[in-house]
Amino acid sequence: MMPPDNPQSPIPNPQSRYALCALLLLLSAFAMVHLSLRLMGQAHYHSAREVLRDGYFGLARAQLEKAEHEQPGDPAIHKALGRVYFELGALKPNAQGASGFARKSRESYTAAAAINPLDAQSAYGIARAEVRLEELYRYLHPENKDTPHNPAAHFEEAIRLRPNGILYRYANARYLHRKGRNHELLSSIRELARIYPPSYYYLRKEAFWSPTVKEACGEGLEAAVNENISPRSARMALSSMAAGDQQWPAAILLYKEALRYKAFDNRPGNYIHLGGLYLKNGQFIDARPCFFRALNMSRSRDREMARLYHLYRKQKQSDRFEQFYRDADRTLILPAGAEIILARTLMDLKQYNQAGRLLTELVHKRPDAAAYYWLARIAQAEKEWDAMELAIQKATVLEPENSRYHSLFSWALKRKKKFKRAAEEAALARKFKK
Amino acid sequence: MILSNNPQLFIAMRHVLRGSLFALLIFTPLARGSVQPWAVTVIEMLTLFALTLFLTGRCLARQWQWIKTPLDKPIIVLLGVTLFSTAFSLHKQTSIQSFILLLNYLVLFYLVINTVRTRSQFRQLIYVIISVAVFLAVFGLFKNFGANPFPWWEYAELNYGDRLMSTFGCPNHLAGYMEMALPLLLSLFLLGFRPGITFILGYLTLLCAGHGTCS
Repeated sequence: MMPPDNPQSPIPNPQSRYALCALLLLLSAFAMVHLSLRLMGQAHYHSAREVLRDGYFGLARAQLEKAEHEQPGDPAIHKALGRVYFELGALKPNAQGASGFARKSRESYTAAAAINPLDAQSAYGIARAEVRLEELYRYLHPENKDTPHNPAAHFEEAIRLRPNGILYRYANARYLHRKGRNHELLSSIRELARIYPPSYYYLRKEAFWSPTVKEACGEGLEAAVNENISPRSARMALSSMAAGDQQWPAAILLYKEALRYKAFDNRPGNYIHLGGLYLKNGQFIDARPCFFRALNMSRSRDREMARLYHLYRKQKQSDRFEQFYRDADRTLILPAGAEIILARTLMDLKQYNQAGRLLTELVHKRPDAAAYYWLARIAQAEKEWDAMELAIQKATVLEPENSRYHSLFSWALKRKKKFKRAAEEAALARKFKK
Repeated sequence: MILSNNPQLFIAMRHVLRGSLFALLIFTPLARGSVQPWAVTVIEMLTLFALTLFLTGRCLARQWQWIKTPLDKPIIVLLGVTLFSTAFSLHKQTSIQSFILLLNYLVLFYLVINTVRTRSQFRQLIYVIISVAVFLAVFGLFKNFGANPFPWWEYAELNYGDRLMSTFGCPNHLAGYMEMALPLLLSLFLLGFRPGITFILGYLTLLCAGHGTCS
């Protein structure tokens, strides 16, 4: 069927129609060529990213240089190239070579920043390259006190472009610490803790963590609380800080306040932590409801019970834990493995007979490697070497890939002067040790 | 004259045009949800090809009738606002790229409006979308059970736990695709009751719904 002739057509003349078609095709071909070139560049960029993930920086460099040739106006390619040069520089054994790559890295990031001056990543890339160039300059020219490099300006630029960029602020804080610019460091820490309260947990592991930095961090966290920025995290961090100073009442108060925010996010671990703070403050009665709440919420009560056991044990309150366990056993359904925790508590209280009876009942119901292990430990404490050997042997049979069981079995065999078997078990213990 | 009077040519052009639209529908979910720059370029190339074919056909056939849709006016407003914000953007390059992408989507919308006209063509379009959804669902199951025969759809760098991803790089994108495909699949139940077909459709619906939930 031929299409109907449209008298309303704006282009009635056939020559004009053909000319318009030709123009359309020409424009389309032009755009298609442009897109094809872009696609080729992107294909190189894509394969570079794939090999970059596996750490093949040389291959990535070759692909990215081709991509850059196809698409010189793509800032993502320049940034990737900057990263590759930076990583290649780190692999160079000599300072001259490393310096060359650092310079190339800076140039690539600068090219990316020239195309997109609003990109914080490019500014951060320049800052990192400048830091390396500065370090290498000091190494290569120890006679010069001043360096021509200024990473601080680029760190500031990256932070200006992305004020809440945590990564940039961490890097800046480390740089300021290395440079000994303490006043700026404290101000940076204050701001970091204010905008992102969980940063406290990372900052306290940093080399620059000191009483003054801690104070600045605390000020930042208090500012976050006052400005209602991540109120839950800020209060938790402040509570952790107070707990670090053994100010238990303050830690408890702050943690209780924190749990009131986003209460739907509260997990068994949160209540165990709060109970733990009560325990440390000697408020044993107040700790119990928290622990019961945690056990009620928990899907793996044996795991939570083990955590509670360790908490009480650390506070040398095993007798209180025994009472807590028995109360929990009356009101909640505890998994079978939880009885081992009670047996361990009884062992801590030196009630070996009672613990042994409990574990024996348990293995009669269902053979369990962990129960046999603790039976062996009871036998060890009571110096019953035959019983110990028998129990730990059963544990190794039930769980043959547990290094700890083989290790204790080896000890028991050595005690009985069965050295050859002891050596074999020790070898197995080493083999299965993670 | 030869070109404009040749009905075979017009039929072939329409087939190729619809074929390129269907190719786009198949390609976009398979290319990791087309979130990567190279996939966007392929979409733009296919759209450009389809648009050229459409305009050339219209030009030769002397048919310039515009099919009106209720979305025309909102689209014009959206285009105006986007153009305004692009003109005053702080970073024009990014804004222009995004504006071109928006234009690309609008071109696709109008191409579908103008080329998928009959009931059977609509049905073909729906079948393509459903077929892709079923492939994604079946392949997603294979992949989740560790039996992915296609290494290019293995994304070792991504870790979403047990959530189903299939060919996509994000489980939410797969869920979005399934949400789009499910109503189309359900609409096939309205075509009439045939036990065998209904059973298959029911099975496929459960498969896609299950994927939407698990992703």
